[in-house]
Amino acid sequence: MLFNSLQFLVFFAFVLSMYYALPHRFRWVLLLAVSCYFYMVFVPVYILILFGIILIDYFAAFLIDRASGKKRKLFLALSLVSNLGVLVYFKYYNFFLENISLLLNNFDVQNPLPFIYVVLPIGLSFHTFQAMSYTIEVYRGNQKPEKHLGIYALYVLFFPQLVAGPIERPQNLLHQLKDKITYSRSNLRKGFLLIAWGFFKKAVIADRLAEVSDLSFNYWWTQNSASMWLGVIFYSIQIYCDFSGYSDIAIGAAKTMGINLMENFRNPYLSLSLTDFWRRWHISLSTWFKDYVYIPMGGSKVKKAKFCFNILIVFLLSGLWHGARYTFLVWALIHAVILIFEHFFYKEKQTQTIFSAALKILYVFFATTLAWVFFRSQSMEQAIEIIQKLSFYDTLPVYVNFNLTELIFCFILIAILLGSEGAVKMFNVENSKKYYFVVSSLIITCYIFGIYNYKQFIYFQF
Amino acid sequence: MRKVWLYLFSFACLTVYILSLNRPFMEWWADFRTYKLNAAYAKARYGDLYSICFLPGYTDTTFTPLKKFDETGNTDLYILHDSYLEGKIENNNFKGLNKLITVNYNTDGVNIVPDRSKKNILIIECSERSDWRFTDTTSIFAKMSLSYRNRIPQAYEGEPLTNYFFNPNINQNLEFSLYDYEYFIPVKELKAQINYSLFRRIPKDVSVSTDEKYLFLSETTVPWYEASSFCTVNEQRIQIVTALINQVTARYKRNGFDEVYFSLIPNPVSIVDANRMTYNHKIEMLEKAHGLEAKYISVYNTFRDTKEKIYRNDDSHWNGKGLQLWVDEVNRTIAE
Repeated sequence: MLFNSLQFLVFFAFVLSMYYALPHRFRWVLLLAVSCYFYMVFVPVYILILFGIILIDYFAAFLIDRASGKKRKLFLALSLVSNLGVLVYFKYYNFFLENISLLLNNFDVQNPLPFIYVVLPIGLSFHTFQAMSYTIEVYRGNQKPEKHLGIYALYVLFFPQLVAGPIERPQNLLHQLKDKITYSRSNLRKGFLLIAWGFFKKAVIADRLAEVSDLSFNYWWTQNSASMWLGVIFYSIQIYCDFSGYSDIAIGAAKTMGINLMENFRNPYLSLSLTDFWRRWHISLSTWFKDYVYIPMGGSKVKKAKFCFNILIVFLLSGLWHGARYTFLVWALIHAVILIFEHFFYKEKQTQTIFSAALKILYVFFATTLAWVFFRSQSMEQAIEIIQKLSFYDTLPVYVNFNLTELIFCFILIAILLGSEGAVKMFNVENSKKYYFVVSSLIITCYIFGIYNYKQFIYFQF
Repeated sequence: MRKVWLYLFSFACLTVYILSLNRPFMEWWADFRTYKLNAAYAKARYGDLYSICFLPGYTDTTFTPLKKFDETGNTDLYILHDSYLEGKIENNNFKGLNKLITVNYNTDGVNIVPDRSKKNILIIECSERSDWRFTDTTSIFAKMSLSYRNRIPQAYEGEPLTNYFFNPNINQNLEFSLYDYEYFIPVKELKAQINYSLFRRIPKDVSVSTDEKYLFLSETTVPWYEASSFCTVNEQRIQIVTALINQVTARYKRNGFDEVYFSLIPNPVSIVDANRMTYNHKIEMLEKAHGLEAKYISVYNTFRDTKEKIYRNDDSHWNGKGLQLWVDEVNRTIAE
C-alpha cells in the first residue's frame, strides 16, 4: 500500500481510531493484522516469506539465549544465514549468475544454472536487516528474547516502517509495542504535522522534480549538458524528498499511536563534509552498518590501511544492500574514497564563516550529486555517458519539460525545504493557532500543487 | 463517550474501505447514483476529458438530436462500432432500414445470422486513434461470429479471489465514493485552473488545442504514440491494414453480407487542430491505398470542409452534428 494514496488515508483513519478505541491488550492484534494486510496489498503470497523469517528468528533468539560458547555463535550464524539466504535468493542470485556466466563464457563453458524470474518482495532489505538486528542484539546480550510471538512478529511487520524503514533496533521498538500507551494530544499533533510534511516532500517536491530528472535519466542521449545538469541536481533533491518524506510519514504515523521511531534524516544537504553527511543521511542504515559491521571490524581505531579497508568493506556492503548492480557499487566506492580522503586530510572546525560553510555545503552537495548519477543509472555505460555530458558543453538544444514559472517554483520549493526542515521537527505543537495554520497550509499546498500519479517511493525497490 | 465515537468512526472507515473493494457493489452504486439519485458522477456529467482534468471552461452540454425517418425498407444494417456510436443511434435515424443491429467491440461473441431474404450491409466503424482494431481480424471475427460456425465457448475467467481483498482499483473507487460529488467540483476546478495558468500543467492524458478551445486525448497529439495524428505512418503498415480489411470483406461477403464497409472517424485533432504539428494523413492513405478492394464510408473530407462545430470541447468524441454528418454519409451509401 502506498502512503501517497487515498487507500492509505482511509486505512490509516481506521487503524488510528480503532487503536485508541480498543483496550490495550488487543492493540497488538489490531496492529499485527493491519500490518499483514498492508504488506499483502503489494504481493499477497510474499507474506509467507516474512512469516518464515519471523519464526526462524523467534526460535533462534531463544536458542542463542540459552546456549553458550560456540553453540551460541552457531545459532546466530543459522539465523543470519536464513535471513541473508532469502535476501540473496531474491536480490542477488541472478546478479551472481550473470557474472558466473560471463566468466564461464570466457572458457567456452555454458552456465548450467537457471535464472529466476520473480518479483522482488517489496522492502525486503529493510525488514531482513531489522530482523537480523534482533538476533544480533540477543547474541550480544543487549536484548532478552521476546516471549510473545505476536509482539515479535509485530516488531518485524509494524506497518509504518515495514517497507522502507527506519530500520529499527529491538531495544527501541519492542518495549514500545508492549507498553500501555495513553492518548496524548501532543503525540497526535506532532504525528500529523510530520505526516503532512512528509506528504509535502513526496507529492509536491519529489514527484514534481521527478518529471525533469526521469526525462534526463531515461532519455539522457537527447539531453544538452545544461538540461542534464538540471536533471541530475533535481534527482539529488528528489531522492532526498522521496525517501525522507517516506520516513517522515512513517515516523509521524507511529507517533500518532504514541510509538517513537528513530530519526532517519537530519538535513543532510546542509552537511559540511561527507563524513557529516553520513551522520545525517539514512541514519538507521548507516548506524546499522556502524554497529554490526564497522565497529566489530575495529572501526577507526586501527592502522591506516586497516581503516581504509574497513571503510571500503562497509560502503561496498551498503552499495550491495541497495541492489545487485555495479552502479551501486561505484556509488558506494565514490563515497568510501571521499570519506577516506576526508579522514586523513580534512579537519572539521567548530566555528565557520558563512562563506566557508556555504562552500563546504556546495562541495558536499556536488560530490553526492555526482555519486547519485551512478546510483540512478541502470548501467555503467549510461552513467559514464551522463558524466561525459555533464563535463562537456554540447550543441544539442536545451529541453526541459517545465515552463519557466514551474522551474522557478521548483527552486522556491527547494529553498522552503532547506529552510523549514529543521523548524518543522522543532515545531511547538502546543500553540494551537500556529499549529493549525501550518498543518492546514501544508494540506492545501499538497492538494493544489501535489502530483498524484501513484508513483512508488524510490526506496521501496530495496 | 469518546470510545463510542472512535468505534463509530472506525466502523465508518472500514465500511467505506470494504465496499470500495467490492466491484459488484461499486457498479451498483454508480448506477444508483446516476439513475435513482440523479447525481451523475464526473464522467457522466460532462465529457470524458473534462472529467480527467477538470479545467473550467471546457464543459460542453449542447445536444443536437439526430434526424429521424419513418421510411422503412428491405435493408438490414449491421454495425460493429466503438464508443463513437455507443448508444447514440437507432433504427429510424437511417433511411429504408428493416432493422439495425449494433455490436460494440467490447461485447463478446454475438452470433449473427444474416437474413438472406434481406439486403445485408455491414459497417465496421472505428476511430482513427484505434485503427489497430482493423489489424486484429481475429477480434473482428470473434465479435461477430457467423451462423455457419458455432462460436467456441470461452472459459469463464472469474475475478481472482484476491481482488476481493486487494482490489487494484480501490483508489479510483474511493475517489468515486468520497470525492466525486457536485460540491467538490469548484475545488477541483480551482486546482486545475491554478496549475494550468501557472505551469501549463494538466494531466498527462489530456492536451489542450492550440486555440485553447478543445481538449484532446494526448495519445492523439503526442507523435510517439501510434494512435496520434502526428505519428509517422509507413507504407508497410498501410499495406498490412489494407490486406487485412480486404480479407475481412471477403470473409463476411462469403457468409451472407451483400456489402461490407469500413469507416474511420477522424481524431478531433486531425480536423480542428491539424496544423499543430505535421499531420500524418493516415486516413487518406488508408482510404486510397494501393490494392484496396474493401470500401470505406469516408467522412474525412466532409468533416474537414464543414464550418459547423462537430466535436465536443470536453470530450474525445464528436457531438450530435458530427454524428449526423456520419449518419448522412451512411444513408447516402445505403441508398446507392
